[in-house]
Amino acid sequence: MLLSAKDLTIGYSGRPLLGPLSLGFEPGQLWCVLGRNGAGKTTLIRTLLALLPPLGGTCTRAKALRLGYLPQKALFDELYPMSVRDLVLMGADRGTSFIKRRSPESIRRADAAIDALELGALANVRYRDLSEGQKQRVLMARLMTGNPELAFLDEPTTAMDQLAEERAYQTLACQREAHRMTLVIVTHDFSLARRYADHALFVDDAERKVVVGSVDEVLASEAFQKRYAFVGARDT
Amino acid sequence: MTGPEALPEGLSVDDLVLGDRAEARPNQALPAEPEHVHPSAPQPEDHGFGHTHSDHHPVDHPHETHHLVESQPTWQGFVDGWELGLYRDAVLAGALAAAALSILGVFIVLRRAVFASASIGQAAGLGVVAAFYAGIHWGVDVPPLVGAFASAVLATALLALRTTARRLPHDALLGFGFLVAAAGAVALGDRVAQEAHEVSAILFGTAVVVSSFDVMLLAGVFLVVVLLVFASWRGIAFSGFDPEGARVQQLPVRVLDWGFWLLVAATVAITTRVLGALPVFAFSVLPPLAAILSTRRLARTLPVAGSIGAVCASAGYVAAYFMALPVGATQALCAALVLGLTLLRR
Repeated sequence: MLLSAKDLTIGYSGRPLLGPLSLGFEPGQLWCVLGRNGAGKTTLIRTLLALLPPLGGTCTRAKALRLGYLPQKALFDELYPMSVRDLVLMGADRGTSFIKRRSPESIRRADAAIDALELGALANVRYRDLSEGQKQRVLMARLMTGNPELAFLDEPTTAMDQLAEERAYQTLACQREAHRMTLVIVTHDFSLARRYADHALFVDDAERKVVVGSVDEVLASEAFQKRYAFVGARDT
Repeated sequence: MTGPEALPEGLSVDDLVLGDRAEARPNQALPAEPEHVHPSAPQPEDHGFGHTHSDHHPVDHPHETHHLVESQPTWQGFVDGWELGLYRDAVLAGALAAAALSILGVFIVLRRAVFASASIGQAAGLGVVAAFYAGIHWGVDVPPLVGAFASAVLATALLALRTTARRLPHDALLGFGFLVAAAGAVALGDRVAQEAHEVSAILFGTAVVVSSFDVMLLAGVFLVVVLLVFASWRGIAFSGFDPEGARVQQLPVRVLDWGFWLLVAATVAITTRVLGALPVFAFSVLPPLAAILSTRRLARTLPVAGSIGAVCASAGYVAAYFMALPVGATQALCAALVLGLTLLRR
């Protein structure tokens, strides 16, 4: 088990939002996190990443687990003089490795990620000069450069055009297969969930509970159907 | 003309030094005791144009140091002063301090904490004044450098407090720190009239000649800044640019933040005592901003900022010599000019 949560209660400022819930992530899985805006999806993955303290329960990580995170809205300061390649290479820095020269392997991984996400022509362009969709591709390339064992991606393709989105998911699927990477993706796109994910987690804000299981089980669950009955016939 | 023997009788290079050593205070070192300069009410003639005023300190302007040797600011006079070590050491000290501050300033500007360096600089000034005060009124001999450093570190710790927990916006806390330090320095400075010129020099940057000890100290500061920034710039940049991403990738974000601000505190404390608060603030903001605006990659921004800072400090000193202007203000204006030209180019 890469990361597991037991009786986890999440929330802000002492106010519980969800839980208690228990779940675990195994190597090579692809999870989709579904739920309405404001349901607590981002709070959940930020708690799992230890960016927020849990209100109850425990999270246990495998020793020396390599984590990756692609935030929903990266509000990076655009004053930073940072080229696309510089930012992608940031993914290679882990722990205190920033003191050392980057290894040829990490540079090769960064270049491969840049190529895979069709960023080659933009490699020397300043990050701040990119469109929002291009920025999301850069952050995805940074995530891949870090070669994480477990990566959390919070709505990673919302600003991408359809082609770029498809390409991004294909790249992630390849990465998962090649490196047995575990991906946890927050999305509102049920068709993508069906196509790529094997596990799903539905955050039900009305009942303040979480449904966990295979994609088919979660999409067929009573809680999900009740909430998304109006789109059920069309998308699920 | 070489060596201190070229100075007027009874005067050595060390006598002209604005330093922290008790035996090398400017008002003891200069041939004539300056008239009282009230630090809380700096008049234009105290730090302003011209070199014929009788009520300002002779070492506020570089060429006035040269008055001790010759009467008019000329190239030959400057070269003579350079060979003597007077101007060479001051230019070198300014360049080293400006380069170190400008390199650190890149991260200060990028972290949107410009007024942090102003507040820390003011706090360092307050520390120096407090050290004088303790010596004069309590008989406690505190080296001004220690006072500056302690005060700067304290200010850094206060500024690093989690302001949200105190329901104070961060810029309000910076303003609070700046005002308390500035007002404290002026108020306390009023009680150490014997050191009025030194207090004034610290607050407004009117130091002209420096001791070889100060040059060595600043060379050490420059070296430490370059080595530490060279070793950790990627980590400092990552933790400032994307602190959450850095935490997820297990970078020691807190250590990097505290280490960075302590380095800023130490650098500002030492350079403030030698150069004064105004040029220290200017060098930690203006050259970095010019470098950030004119480079595409952070790896290049850092050496460019350091170079701009060093050039502005040197050019500012020379300009102050020939134009009879206060050194600190002229150096700051040089840096402002470079930033202005950078903005025009864009």
